[in-house]
This record gives sequence, C-alpha cells and structure tokens, in this order.
Amino acid sequence: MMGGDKTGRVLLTAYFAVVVLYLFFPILIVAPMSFSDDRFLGFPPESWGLRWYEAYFSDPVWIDATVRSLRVAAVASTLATVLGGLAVVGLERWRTRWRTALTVLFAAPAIVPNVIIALGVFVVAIRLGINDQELTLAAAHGALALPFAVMIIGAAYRQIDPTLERAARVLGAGPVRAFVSATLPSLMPAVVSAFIFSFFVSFDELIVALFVMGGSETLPVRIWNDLRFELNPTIAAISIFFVAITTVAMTLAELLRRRGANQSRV
Amino acid sequence: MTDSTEPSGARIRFHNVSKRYGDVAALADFDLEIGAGEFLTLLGPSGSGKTTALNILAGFTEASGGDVRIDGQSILSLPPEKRNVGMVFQSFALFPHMSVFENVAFPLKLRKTPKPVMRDKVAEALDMVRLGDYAGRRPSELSGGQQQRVALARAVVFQPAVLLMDESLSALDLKLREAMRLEIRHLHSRLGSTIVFVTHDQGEALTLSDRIAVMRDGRIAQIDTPDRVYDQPTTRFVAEFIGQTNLFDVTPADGGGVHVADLGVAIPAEGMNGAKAISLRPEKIRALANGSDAPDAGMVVFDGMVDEPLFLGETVQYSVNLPSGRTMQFRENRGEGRAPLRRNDRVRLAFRPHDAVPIVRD
Repeated sequence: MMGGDKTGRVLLTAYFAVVVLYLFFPILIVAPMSFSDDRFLGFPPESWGLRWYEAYFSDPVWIDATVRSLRVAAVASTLATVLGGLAVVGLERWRTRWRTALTVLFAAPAIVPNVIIALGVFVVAIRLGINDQELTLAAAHGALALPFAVMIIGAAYRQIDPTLERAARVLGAGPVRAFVSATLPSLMPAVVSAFIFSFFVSFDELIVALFVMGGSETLPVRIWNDLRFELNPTIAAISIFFVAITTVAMTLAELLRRRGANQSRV
Repeated sequence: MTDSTEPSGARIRFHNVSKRYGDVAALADFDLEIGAGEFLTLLGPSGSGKTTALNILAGFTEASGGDVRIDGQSILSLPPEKRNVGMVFQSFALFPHMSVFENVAFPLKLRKTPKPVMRDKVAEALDMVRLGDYAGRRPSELSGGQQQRVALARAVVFQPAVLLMDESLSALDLKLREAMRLEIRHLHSRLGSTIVFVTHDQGEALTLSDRIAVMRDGRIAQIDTPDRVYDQPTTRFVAEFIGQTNLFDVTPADGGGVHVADLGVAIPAEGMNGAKAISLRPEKIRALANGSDAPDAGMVVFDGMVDEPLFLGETVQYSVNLPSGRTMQFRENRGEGRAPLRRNDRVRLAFRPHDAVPIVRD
C-alpha cells in the first residue's frame, strides 16, 4: 500500500513537472536568449549581457511601436469593459427568449478564427478608408476582447444578491443610483480584472493588426517584421520584459477578482 | 422616530388587486384594508400570493389589475423609491461594501438629510436595535441576528409610515427568531408605523400580529385577530394551517345539531348550521379517568385506543385510534394526577360542544 502510494506520488510529480515544462518551454528558451551578448539569436547564448534590453529601450522604432500598442490596448480594453459590462447587465435582466442567442452572439468573437475577423475588418476598413488607423484597430481589438469581459463580469454579476438593488430602490434610490450604489461596488473588482485581461488580449494581438495596420506598426507587428529580416535577440529581450509585466498585471487582476468574490459574500 | 407629534402609521388599501403570470393567477381579487399603525401578517404557504402582494405594495411587481392606496393615494404608478416605505428582506440585503453606519445612513443620504441630523438619527436607530457600538463594522463582521437588526434600523431610520417585512426572520435560527419576535413587537409599539409582515410561519404570525390574513391560492382564506383565526377557523385550510387540529366530516342530525360519524356522537345545535365538518384542537380534548363520567354533563364523550404517545416537554400528545378506523390527536399537560397512558390503553375522551368549531368551507 505504502509503496503504491509512493509510486503514485512520484508519477504525479513527474507528470506535473512535464506539464509545467510544456507550458513554460517557450519562456525557458527565450529567457536565456534575452540575456545574450551575441550578435545573433541563438540558443544557448555564448556570452551574457543586457545589451539587447538596451537596444530595445534606445531604438525609437521599438519604443514607438510599444507606445502605439499601449494606446490601442487602452482604448480597446476600455471599449470591451464598458460594452461588456453593459451587455452583462442587459443579458442578466432582460427576460427575453433571445437571451441564449444573444449570449452566443457575445461569445462569437472568441469562437470565430481571428484571421476571418481580420479579413472582414480589413475589407470594411479599406472601403471606409479607415485602415492604418489606431482607432480602427482598437475597435477591432475591443470586439475580440468583449467575450472575455462579458464572461468575467457576468460571473461576478451572478454572484451578487439581486435584492441588494431592490433594497436600495425601496430606501429611496432611483434605478441608476441603486445600480451604482448597490451593485457596482461588488462588481468593481471584476470590472478591473476584465479591463486588465482585455488590455492584454489587444496588446499581443498580431493577426488583425497585420491586416489593418500598414505603416504604423504595433509591437507584435514590429516583432513580426523584425523577425522576417534578421534574427537578433532584441525580440527575446522585449518578450521577457513583457512577460514580466504581464505576469504582474494578471496576478493583480486575479487577486482583485478573488477579493471581489469574497467580499460580495456577506 | 420618537417624535410622537408626527402622524405615524398609514392606512393601506388593496382594492381588487390581481396579478397573473400567463394563465396562473398569483393574486386574485385581493381585497384588504389595513388600519393606520396596524401590524398585519400575510400568512400562507409558498405560492399563496403573500409575497406577490408585498412586492406589489413595495413596487417590485406590477399589478395586472386593481388599485393599491396608501392614505388614500394610489401608489401603483409610483416607482419603489417614491413610495416612502421601509422594507426588511429575508436575506437582510445589507450593502456589503458599506459600514453599518453607512448602511443605516443610506436612506437619509438619499433624502438629503443634513449631516448632523443624519448622524443623530443613525445613532438613535442603532441604539434602538442595541447596536450603537457597531457603527464602524462591516456587515460581514456581524452575526445573523445583528445583521437583521441593522436591516431593521435601516428600514425605519427615515420614519416611513409603512414598514414591510418579507420572511424577515426565516434566515435566523430558532432561539434568535424568538428573541427577534419580541424586539419587533417593541419596535412596533415604539414606531407606530403600519407593518405588513409576510411569513409562512404560523407561530410568528400568532405572536406578532394585530390581525392575520391567511392566504391560499392568491386569495385571503380568512382574516381575523390571531386568537380568532386560531379559535374560529372557518375553512379546513385555515384550521389545518394554523396550529394542529382534528377535522371530522359531519352530517346534519335530527333536532338541529350535527352527527359525527367518525366519533359516533352527535353534537347539539348552536351555530352548527351549514357545517360540513368540525375542527377539534388536540388541547380541547380531555381524557377521563377509567370508567368515570364526564365532569360536565354537557360534554360529548367517545372512546378510543391509544396508539402512540409523543412526549413534547410540558405536554404529551397522544395519537388515538377510533372505532371507525380514523386516527386523531389529543394533548394534555403532564402530571395531571393520572398515570400516563400507554400504547393500546383504552381511553374515554370528552370535549365541550362549543370547542368543536364548525367548518363551512374547504
């Protein structure tokens, strides 16, 4: 029995290690490469240094692309969060037989292949003459992120006791005031969480950006174009830099979401 | 709220109110008049329409027909926030992100009460429910009973003329529920507001109310004072829903009374006209000592055999098999001098004719 237990535990640990390795494999390769002092991208690096981090921060083209990506992501995640939040309120309250259909509709951007969406947005943008514009890309990214916002905010919304809002109403608050003072505070952590999540959906999106953006590159587009001409470790440095930032932000979002889930329970 | 110069309770009038969900009538021809300052309980099983009636009064549910007036003013077109009623919910519905103080201050803030007045009123309301020291706490840091009292303070702090309570004690455990009954009674006499209390718990209804409206299938089955609802139920439903009872079908007997086939006895006249059945409360039946006659000549006497004694604390309830095959219950105080009855004991039982309540409708 004991022996069996032990074997089981060893196997389980091994399995866990393999899965973790599988998930982190790209990072395990890229991370050392980013600290390379070599001229070309290679694994493992022959010499070590922060040369490529420096190269990134001192190249206006890279910085320009990064700032553009941040701008687009900010607008896209605002769109996704606001529209997603309103969608949740509508979907949860509006007793209609179209509810299921509407719910599926709001999930559609997560199901339809990005390349199809990219093509569609591209054709429409060309026709309207709004291609190669940050707002166009932000709008497309907002749609891509919308299903996640709806999912995150919806899950939190369903945890909130609907009588809270009734209580606010009967105590003297109008419908909007009741929502803002009774429901929204419990929803806020999820809203922030949805915002951060949407932000990263946009920030590292490549395909739609490739189709829509011409001359003005976002960071993923810049990386893509860079890779096509030369293989230097700058992209490894950028990747690791953003993996670090993303990790911190996502952890923050998850913590907020949990705190919210705990707080809405009385 | 201690300001006695203010008129306190309001009159409430439901006039032929109905509510249909598709083909189902949740409320049908609901007619009810509640006096100013009255404590009225809507009592009934789930689906009887009591919560629908309350939600129509609060403004959460739209009536399909009829009218509701508070002090003569029709309120059906007003949104909940314009009706100026206080409400305590089953789930308490305290705002989790606000402190106890902020929760209680909420209705005052909405009414743009000046800060110093607000502070005084909140303090007074919290003192009234004995939570003066808890103003800074979050609801999640309070026990169920304390949360309930905060919900009460919040519902009355703006001195509404009408206070609604929706199964407000159901979420509490038994001991607390009984303690809260007393508090609510005190509160009622202190505030003077009209209280409409919804519950499925007949014990709550009997102890708290000035009047009880027993509801069934969207209608009022009977409305009366607690003692009359208990002592003089007019329908089988009310007799069985409130307290425990024995129901026997009856047929008209010669000379004006009724005949009870299950007991093999006749009950002489007096108010039995039109009775389809009688209701006999277990505590109204007495067991006679072996072979003796009824202590009172007018009593109706019958025989049975003890089936199952049930120890209830200060009383014992006996299940008795009748010669007709029916089973009935009677209850007596312990230590009445006679040895306790055991299973299969033959027993002679008696009741006063006027304790048999005529039931005229189902």
